[in-house]
Amino acid sequence: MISLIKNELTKIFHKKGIYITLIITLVFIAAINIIYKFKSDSFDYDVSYDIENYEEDLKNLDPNNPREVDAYVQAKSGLEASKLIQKYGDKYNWQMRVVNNYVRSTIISMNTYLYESKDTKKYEEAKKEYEMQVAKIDSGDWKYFVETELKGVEQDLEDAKKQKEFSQNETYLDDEIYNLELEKQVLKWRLEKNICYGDDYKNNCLDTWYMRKKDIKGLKQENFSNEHNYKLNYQRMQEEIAISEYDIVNETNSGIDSDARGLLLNIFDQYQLFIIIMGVMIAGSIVSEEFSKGTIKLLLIKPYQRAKILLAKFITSIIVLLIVILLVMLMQFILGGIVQGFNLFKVPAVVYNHNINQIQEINIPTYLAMQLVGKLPMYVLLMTLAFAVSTLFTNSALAITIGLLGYMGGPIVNQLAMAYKLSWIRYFVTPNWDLTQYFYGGLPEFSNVNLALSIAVIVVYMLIMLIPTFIVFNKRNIKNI
Amino acid sequence: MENLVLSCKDLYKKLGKKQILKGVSFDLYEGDILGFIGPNGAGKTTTIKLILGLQGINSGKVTINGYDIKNNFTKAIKRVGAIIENPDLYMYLTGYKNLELVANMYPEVTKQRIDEVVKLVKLEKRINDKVSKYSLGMRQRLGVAQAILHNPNLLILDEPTNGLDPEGIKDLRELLKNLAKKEKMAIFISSHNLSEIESLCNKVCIIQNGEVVETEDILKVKSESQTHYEITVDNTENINKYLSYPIEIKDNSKFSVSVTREQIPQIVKTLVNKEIKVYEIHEIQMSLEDAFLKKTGGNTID
Repeated sequence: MISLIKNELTKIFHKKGIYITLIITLVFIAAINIIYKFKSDSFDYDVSYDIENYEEDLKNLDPNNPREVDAYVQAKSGLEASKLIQKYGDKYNWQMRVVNNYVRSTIISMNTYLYESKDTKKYEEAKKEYEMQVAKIDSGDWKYFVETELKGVEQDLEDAKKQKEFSQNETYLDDEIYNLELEKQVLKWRLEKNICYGDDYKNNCLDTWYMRKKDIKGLKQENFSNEHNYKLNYQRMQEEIAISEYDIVNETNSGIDSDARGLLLNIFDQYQLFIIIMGVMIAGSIVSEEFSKGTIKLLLIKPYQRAKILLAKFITSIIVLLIVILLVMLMQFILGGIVQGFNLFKVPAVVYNHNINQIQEINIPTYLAMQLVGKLPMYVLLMTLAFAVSTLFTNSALAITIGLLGYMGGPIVNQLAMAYKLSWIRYFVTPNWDLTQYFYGGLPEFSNVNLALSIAVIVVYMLIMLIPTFIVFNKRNIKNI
Repeated sequence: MENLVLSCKDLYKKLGKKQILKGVSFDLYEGDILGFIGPNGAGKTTTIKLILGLQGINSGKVTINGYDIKNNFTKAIKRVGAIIENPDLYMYLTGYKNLELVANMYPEVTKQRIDEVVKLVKLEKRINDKVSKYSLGMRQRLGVAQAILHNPNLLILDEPTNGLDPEGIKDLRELLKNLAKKEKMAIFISSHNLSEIESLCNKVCIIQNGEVVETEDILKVKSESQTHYEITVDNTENINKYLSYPIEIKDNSKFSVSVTREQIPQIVKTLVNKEIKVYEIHEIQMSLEDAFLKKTGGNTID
């Protein structure tokens, strides 16, 4: 048996097909890593267009005309703010945000005093404020603005709490206090963890944390058609909150899925197509190719039972799948490391465990091994499908096509079942074949499946495909080729 | 009595609606080289596939080295080597790798044995080239190598001379004769080309339309049929009138007659009496092909 498997491996690894696919995968992995490295997080914002518009408006407006003075002030202030933004670069950066949130209103007051109310004293005050703000920006003191914002929030919070003491039954006040507390926490974190305004990952974490915290409170008021969807949503939000908080508090980047480490951890989502193509390709041709080349005769007149020969081929397909997965992981590790630095891989995988309601750190190899175990049934089932077709119809092209169709059809079947609420779908293979959905106390996509059922369904489908395959292969007449 | 290696008893096989084999029986003993002869479509390859267990048997029995191929496949096939139709080789592998794959499936085959066989089929120089670069003759030789690698005592070859040049056929003939003699192998060769097999086999089995027409020693097949004599004379015009034997006039100086040896002096006497000059009489060796055509009555296929 072992010598048969050895022979099959020899045959597969002397063929060009597998190497070509591996090289394509390699190129793809390298490209993804490079693209993600140079992908700039911040988008460009062209203010020169705004400046032109404001200048155009100003030409037609007369500050001395009382009916136009208001529009004039708006345009003038807009122009000045935009020029200020331009001064700090066209990128979306913290300066832009500070100008928009703070300086812009100061400019508007300045211009209002200057043109509308003509109050020189107040204008001077506003101008002083303006100069101070610009000086803070110039010196890079973004924390000043955070502190200002924090003071405002704390003030609001105090007011709201006082108000609450007088009127006890106002739930909207509870909501407001809850939201203000969240805002306060975000600002505090900004100061503590040095998170400047922007749109990088940390700001994302703050936003996600804030939004999901709000959402999760509102979740109870929402109307869910069933309990399962509610729980599912709740789990997802809880997970996002926990991981965002983990990354903020520990100053880590564990939630990023586009760096080399994230790509490695999500290897089964990122490169799944390649893994499945290779798996199905091997399983779909390992038997039929012997038929098309005539070498099956050579194989079947050796002193082995036909079932043994077929089993050796099936086992070989799975071994090759595992080798391919390992190679893909290795490629991502090495290429990702070269492009983005190997230090990234020192951070463990971070998952939220719903059983203990806690964040769990798992070292990367263990995490990947678990993912592999969870995803393997799906891969093996698709390969078994291709293998069965390959053996029954001795046609590689058909076998590979059907295997890939099975992969692409899976999500469609699931969506249809969701849309039409088909409860029998629990006995179909697609809702069951991804065991990672049960990991870390997670709830499955469908309410009426569970781990035991999934394993049973997977085993039954394997047998349904394999038993006829073995019977037919055992009885088959080898015709003239 | 030599050891019985292969025995086929009353093999029947139906593929679709067509009855391919209608009771094929024959035995093959150690050291024998059996020519399995028949026109295309007579059921030669099907018989071989039944022997090797590649196709199921409808009725009848194949026994190899005492084991039934149906019920005891692995034991029966253990000492069998075969080439069916074309040599089944992996084109993308080297010749040596091909042999290694076969060797892996028989625990008793060693590396030395591989080298030995490579030398035997004279492929030493090209054994590390890919099979896709081989000529047909080399592929055939590699096919023989992989078939005899595990020291089988039954070698089955389906149309082994297909596509070989005369030189290649001669080499193969030498190789097979050697194997039968030295290794005491029983060899089963199917062919539609009689003249190539003739000098190789010591037994012949003629199959037609799924039935065995004749199983005999080659010498016997030949001797059973009447011998031809070609006689050269000065004039053949009135020969028909003088001789009452079946004669065939070839031209005005030659004719042939089918008679037994004992009748020749009588013919000469008659001719001399009629004042016909007899210059030459010689016996025409009947080829296996002629004998075969006589048996089967030409190449008709259902």
